[in-house]
Amino acid sequence: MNLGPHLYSKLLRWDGGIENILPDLTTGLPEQVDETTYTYKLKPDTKFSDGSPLTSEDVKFTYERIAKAENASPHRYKAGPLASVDTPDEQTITFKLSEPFAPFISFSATGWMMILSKKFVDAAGDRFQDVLGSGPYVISARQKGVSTQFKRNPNHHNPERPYPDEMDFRVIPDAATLDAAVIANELDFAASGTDKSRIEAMLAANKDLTDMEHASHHWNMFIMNCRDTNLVFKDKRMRQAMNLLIDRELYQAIVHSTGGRPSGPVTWGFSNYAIPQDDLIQRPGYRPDKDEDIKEAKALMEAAGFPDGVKLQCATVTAAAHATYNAGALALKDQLAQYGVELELGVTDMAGIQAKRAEGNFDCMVYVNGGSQEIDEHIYGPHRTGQARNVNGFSNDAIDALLDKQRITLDDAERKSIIMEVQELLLDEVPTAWLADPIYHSLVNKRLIGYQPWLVFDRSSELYDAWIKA
Amino acid sequence: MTRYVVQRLFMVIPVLLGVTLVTFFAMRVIPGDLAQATLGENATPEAVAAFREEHGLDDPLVVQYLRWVGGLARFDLGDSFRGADQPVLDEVLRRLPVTFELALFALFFSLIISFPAGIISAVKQDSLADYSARIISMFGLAVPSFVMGSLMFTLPAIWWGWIPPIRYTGFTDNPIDNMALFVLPGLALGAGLAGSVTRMIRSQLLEVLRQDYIRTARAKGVAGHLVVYRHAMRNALIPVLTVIGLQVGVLLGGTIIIESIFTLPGLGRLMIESVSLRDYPMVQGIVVFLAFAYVVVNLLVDLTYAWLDPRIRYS
Repeated sequence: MNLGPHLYSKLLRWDGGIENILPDLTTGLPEQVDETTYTYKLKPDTKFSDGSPLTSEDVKFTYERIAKAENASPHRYKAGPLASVDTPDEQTITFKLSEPFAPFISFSATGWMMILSKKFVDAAGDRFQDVLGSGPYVISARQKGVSTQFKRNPNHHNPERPYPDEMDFRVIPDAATLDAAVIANELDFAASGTDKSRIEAMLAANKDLTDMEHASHHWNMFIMNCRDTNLVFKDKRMRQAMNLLIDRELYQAIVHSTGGRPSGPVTWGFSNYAIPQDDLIQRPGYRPDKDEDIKEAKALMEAAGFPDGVKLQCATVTAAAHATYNAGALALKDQLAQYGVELELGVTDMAGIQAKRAEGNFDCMVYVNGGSQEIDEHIYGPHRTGQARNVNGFSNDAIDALLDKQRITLDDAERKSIIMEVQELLLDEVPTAWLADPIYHSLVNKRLIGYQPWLVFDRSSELYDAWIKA
Repeated sequence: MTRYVVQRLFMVIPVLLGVTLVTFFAMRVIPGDLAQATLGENATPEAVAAFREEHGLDDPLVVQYLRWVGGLARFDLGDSFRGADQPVLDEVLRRLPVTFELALFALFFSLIISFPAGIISAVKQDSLADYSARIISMFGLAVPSFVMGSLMFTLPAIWWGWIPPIRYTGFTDNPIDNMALFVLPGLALGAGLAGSVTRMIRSQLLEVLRQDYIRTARAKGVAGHLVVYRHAMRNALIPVLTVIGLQVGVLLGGTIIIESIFTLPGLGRLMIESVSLRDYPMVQGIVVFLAFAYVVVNLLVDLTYAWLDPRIRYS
């Protein structure tokens, strides 16, 4: 769990889902002077938790630090094509970009754009270990890998938040222990899941729990290695064949017993941008009639030179490391075996799978990814040529051009239509067979009011309005 | 005696060198780039390269190994790859008391169960008490500690809505709360050892009780309990002690899972986290530390032989 957003503030923040952006450190949303200039105004008297002033210089320092190429931040792109940051006074920050950047405002609300204290970082060094933020909480005690206790930040810029005086985050590595702790009311909330029988058993064991059902921003994916070195999946026809052979409904039933929907290139968490479900389920690979899909898939495999099927190295992790990856790989192994596609599972741990992703050392992989709040982050990194998150080495000039174009298109409707166009191309190229968007269930103790289940990396809204009923 | 101890301590060096070799190279065989694992999947190639350079990971493995062993000779276990300036030794010493206490509780429970059970089982051979002790000891041996631990943790939650405490309290902060943390994990971990020690005591005692000198003692009118405690037990204990010494390794290994189940912040849990994060220096440091502890415990066991049997001489 990313605890940073509870400790730091950003210029803006997301409210609940991904629909509304609200001011955080600022007095309001930024003023957009022209296509490349944004001016933010800080609230008066914003302070860090130690009481030192948080000024425009700290914001400038933070953005320039992220944007600096030598720092090699994986979130560098979130600062946009930054040309300059001006601070005419202690409360005003003007960002000048070298070209329009559509996600600039929403990226300034993500959990990664936490405002640092220039003075603190200058003194502590670039690899500082302590925390000095301006978020709703400060750390009162911490045992690495065991627990972190928070208490209210007396200098938080919003005097009405947070409601709880203290929070205690525990690290519980064992899944059965975690469930037992929830059942015994030792925890007010815990990570969510998609195993229906587990959810039902816990609800039956503890009547104080309430079940919150919610969408996710995570895909279940069957990633295919599109690099030229991969003799199978460099051929688009083989990727299309796999996409057709997979029975998404069956996959969903096996892997996520809580149900969900088949997923396209954009998850239904981004409902504004995703291909509508009614439309998606008429597409090859998604349509209810699998016979036609299978017939087409066999023809494609034959045309690609694999009429009798193919043996593939499929990377996956142990069930203990990630139950979904493991169950997904096993489900697909069974499904595809019927058509001569043999998945040889290479089981490793999470570090092993990350290495395979980085090295491109696999034929295919069952993976869960996502967690983004901004559509650009969701679709750009995994599909743009050369990006770190483009793990299957996919490259397509037309898609690259559209992905770049949506970034500089400020008109929402136009940007949405470009993203739809990208999805159409991706559904034809299928670098990945997008499998499922499961329905997640979060079990929350009834005494915890105002909790918002939040399945993105930035969890600052999760507890922003939460309070405990006595 | 002193000469023997010094000799044994010198023998620790090749053992530990062997441990360092195996640990160091075994960690490198595990698939997964540690720079990638440490920095996350979004890490840029530049960040990965900088990390590798900073930690000397581009050097040949032999150079890396010698650098690490050189540090060990100066009692420097190196720095963790997770975060800056985090000496492995500091973290190991911070977590050690938890693991030590868990092992101690496990040992305590195993001994208070196994000694009476083993003695009664031998003295009352083929009685109901004997059969009960044998069944219970078989159960302790057959059920792995992690299953026992999981059941001990989850069943009370399901039946009574209660779980053992999961917030760690240091012994110096609150001794009662601290010891309460270790009761169930100690039992879960000690059950296996209790089973094997019970069986060992029973078989050793049965053998000793059939010896001539025991018969003589009985013929001389020595009371039954004195025959067992004063004459039989002392001779029966030597192989039992050997088993206990050897089982310390099993106990230390068992802490890895038990600490995770009972959320105890000990070395075992640190080890699991470090393996999954490919924190090589931390894993290596913990393994060397545990190996050293194992060797020392077995040396102490060897030294107690002379106390139990005065005929034993060390040279």
